Amino acid sequence: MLNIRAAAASDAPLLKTLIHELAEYERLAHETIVTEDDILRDGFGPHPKFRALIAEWNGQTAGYALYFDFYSTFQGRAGLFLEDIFVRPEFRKQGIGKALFARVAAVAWEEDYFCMRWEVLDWNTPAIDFYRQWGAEFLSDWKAVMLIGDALQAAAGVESPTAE
Amino acid sequence: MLSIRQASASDAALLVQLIHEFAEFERLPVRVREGDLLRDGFGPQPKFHMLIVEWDGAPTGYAMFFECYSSFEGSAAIYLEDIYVRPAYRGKGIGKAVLAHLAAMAVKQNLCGVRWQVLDWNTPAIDFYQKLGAEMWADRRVFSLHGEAMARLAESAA
Repeated sequence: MLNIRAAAASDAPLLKTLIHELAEYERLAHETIVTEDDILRDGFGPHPKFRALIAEWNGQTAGYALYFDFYSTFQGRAGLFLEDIFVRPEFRKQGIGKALFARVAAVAWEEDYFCMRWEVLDWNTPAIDFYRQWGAEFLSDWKAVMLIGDALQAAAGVESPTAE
Repeated sequence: MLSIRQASASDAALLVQLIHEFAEFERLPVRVREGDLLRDGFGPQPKFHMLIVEWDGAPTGYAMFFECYSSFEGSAAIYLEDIYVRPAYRGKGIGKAVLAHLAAMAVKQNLCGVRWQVLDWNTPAIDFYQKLGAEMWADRRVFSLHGEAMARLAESAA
């Protein structure tokens, strides 16, 4: 049986493990440096920077979702940005991913957010078809850009620290 | 001369005007009002921040950003949602100055980066971002779920 619950501070070690599993799945494990302390500080302090859900199947951890608020100036309203959604391979094909999406949509609806937004890898056509079936709008001509690390330092006009 | 400053509540009318110009430029629907910006941007817990760009004292553009979270980094980052420069002021390096301003803010506040989106046919912008050393996540596309479709999915929640 499926149970989806809000993550608590005591889930920090579990969330860290799940985030690393997602990163491994996306082949970004080498760039993934999140620690339990990061999660406790940023997710479970007085002003959390994200919220997370944990999905359990018959009491076993099956996956998670992590989201935060974004804002649309055109709408003049906040939305939810679903940053991570992950179902462990052995728990797939049981509707857990959809249930996690639906729960985030329910949070958005109940808390009066105007929208939920997420990103998909463009070669993942089964996922794209799946999302379209729900009536989600595919903003296919937008690409994500990130300025990070040395390039961020350089753009800031700050000397990069010496590489270690 | 260029100046970049934090917007305050007294800028709300100007910001609404700039947002409407930007929406017209992008041919996207817009419904924001001053009251929305005052409530969401300038209260005790602002949902976003805005910069106003001025050239010789005249408003030439704005940027809107908020904090996002990178779970892989275990760190917050700046998400640049809007950046707009009025047509008459383009080609002066204002966009680059705004990005540099945000990058400096990210470094100072110990945030892991600055993130945004670009239209894939906008090759001059993409070239420009790549010259800055930005990573293009070319295979990531965006989905948006709102209105009745969002309500339908929400209703199906267990």
